[in-house]
Amino acid sequence: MTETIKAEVVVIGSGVAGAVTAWKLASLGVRDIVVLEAGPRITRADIVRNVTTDAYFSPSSCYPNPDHAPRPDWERPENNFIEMTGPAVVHNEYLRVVGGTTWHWDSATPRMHPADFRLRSAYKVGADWPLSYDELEPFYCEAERELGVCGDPDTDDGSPRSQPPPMPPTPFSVCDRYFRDGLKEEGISIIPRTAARATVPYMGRGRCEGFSSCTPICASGAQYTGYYHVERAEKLGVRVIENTRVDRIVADGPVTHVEAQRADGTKVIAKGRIFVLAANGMETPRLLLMSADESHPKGLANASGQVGRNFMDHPAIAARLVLPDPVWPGRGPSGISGSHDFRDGPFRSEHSGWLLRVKNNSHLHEITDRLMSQGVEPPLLDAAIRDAVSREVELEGSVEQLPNPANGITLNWDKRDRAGQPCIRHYYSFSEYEEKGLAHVRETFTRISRRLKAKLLYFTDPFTEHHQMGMAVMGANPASSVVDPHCRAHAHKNLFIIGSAVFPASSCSNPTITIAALALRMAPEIARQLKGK
Amino acid sequence: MSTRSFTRRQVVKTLVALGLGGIAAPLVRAGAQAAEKPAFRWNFDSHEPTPENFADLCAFITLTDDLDPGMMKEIYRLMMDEPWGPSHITRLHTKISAELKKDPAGKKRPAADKQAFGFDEGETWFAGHLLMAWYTGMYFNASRPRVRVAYEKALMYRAVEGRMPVPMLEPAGFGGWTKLPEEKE
Repeated sequence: MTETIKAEVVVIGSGVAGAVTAWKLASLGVRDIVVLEAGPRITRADIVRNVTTDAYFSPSSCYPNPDHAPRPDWERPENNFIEMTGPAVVHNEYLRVVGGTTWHWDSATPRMHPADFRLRSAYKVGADWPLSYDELEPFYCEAERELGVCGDPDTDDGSPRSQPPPMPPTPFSVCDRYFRDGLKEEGISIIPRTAARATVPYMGRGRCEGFSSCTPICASGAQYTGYYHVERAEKLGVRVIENTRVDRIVADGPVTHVEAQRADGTKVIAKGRIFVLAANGMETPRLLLMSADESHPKGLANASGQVGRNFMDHPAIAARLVLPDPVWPGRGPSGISGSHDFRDGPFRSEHSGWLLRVKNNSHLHEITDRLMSQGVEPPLLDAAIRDAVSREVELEGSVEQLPNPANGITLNWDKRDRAGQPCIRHYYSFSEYEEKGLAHVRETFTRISRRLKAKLLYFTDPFTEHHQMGMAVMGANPASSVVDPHCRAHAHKNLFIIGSAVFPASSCSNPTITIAALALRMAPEIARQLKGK
Repeated sequence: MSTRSFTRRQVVKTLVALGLGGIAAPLVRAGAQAAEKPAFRWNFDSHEPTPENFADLCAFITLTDDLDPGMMKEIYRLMMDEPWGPSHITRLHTKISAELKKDPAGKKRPAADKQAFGFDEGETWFAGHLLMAWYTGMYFNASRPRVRVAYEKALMYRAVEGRMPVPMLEPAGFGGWTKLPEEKE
């Protein structure tokens, strides 16, 4: 049996990109919008309960991983469907649930720096965006209102703003103050981070109650999740259909329909005038490649050959410091402060800009594990735990990554995931540009530890921040990009692609607020197109 | 069955004697609240891997006399499910019994002190395994998937009680993170 759905607009994916788009379109008066979400609907209470019984430590492991919409699962290799083939390994994680991956995030919402939009022009590396910071700035303001962002209006973080953040900043923890005060003489500014966290009651959200669990789940709901826009969109009449996985987008010139399948096996065809692909940085290019046919042998929207290329993430390292004084990190939200001092400068012609984050996280479990592995036992153990937990703090530096066509994904049709979709081969590497950026992070953290008279316990190996970007990049030239500056596919005028997949260059800023700003900029363009203007 | 009890006071005296007065202080405070209830029972007649002997063993190894019953039940189930579990419970119980008989006042350090109790390599590993499960609330070994035995009842949270809330269950309240825990008094 095949079910047919007809709508004006079909949105694929209900994460922040799809949910904000659907809500904005509905608020602009567009009617008959349907959102197809591969994964199930979840509740906050379910996830809180899962955390207390979950035996794994990945941010995703307490979320559903159903057969009909599997997510990457690095804890259980037999379940995983991404094969790393390059010299670097990136354990990308994302959720396939209604509301998307912003169920578990750090709520960090730094805007990009103006220079991030003209990287090639300014520093002769990477790529320029086909739009400027100034063009996006009003939409940053709107996105900050929509996501409910807190921040300090008086702090210059390098990204000029025409409106203050809608909420005051998160009060500094003892840990954040320690770094702020201790690093003044070192010339490093520790400033409040903008974050989609309610610091006053906001749009139905209570303010942060300090559950200290931003990842894997904000227990109070003070932190934004895309689910809030799902709910608001539904109130405006948007139909959000969960457990419906899109397997193929079909085009005959314009896109005509998508083929999907429900969890119970029912086939679904969804027809519409406009299609919005908002399926996450990894699933979006995967679906475009999966939609190859005789007319589009390289995949949909892929005349340029750029779909699946130029994958970027934010390579990062963390340093564990043992401070001379107790600061008890891990009380309150995790991402309160950081430094934007290293985001931009002439050095970017040589190495990555980067963001410094003071991690107000407790390392209780890891410290307990470590001390016991070192043979510390009762009656000494409790005091040793207290001492270490009160003074061990991590700093994290995440660097921008240049677009590199070799980094990206291809499909392995010979191997399928639990839903029968082709597995992903993912090639990933760091360039010298990023390696030098990481070296600068290490040098800076060493300098910081000396200044604070802290013991530098260790540096982690490089890891990535689960900010999958690129692989369907935006550009003015159809020969070298997938979508135009309004996120419209060059080859299919009724297909819009929204999400971090369209980023032509990564910057070092967490991508979510830029995704939301792009969605809010794109939605009026879709509304205009529907009206034939 | 003869069962001997060691009081918290005896444990504290032992710690002070070992030069660990700083560690003993919290026990003194806790002891004042606990009104000198027996800290440890011990069955000298049987070393069978019974729930009671296992509970005594866990209390002895963790130096904690009010272990969570639910967690106890789960860890016991897991240990009894391991091919080496029952025999190791018996072996540890037997060796600790022998030492306690020699030293009835409990002057030995009442922890998983391998040398004091003559544990061999396997027994030392087992004691560490038990301790890890009690402290972290997680149990695993190479042959089975990880299991979460407990969340907030894990002893590591008790070690930081009053200073560090249990994530996701104990809200600090808005701004409650701006002062050191001691300053909140």
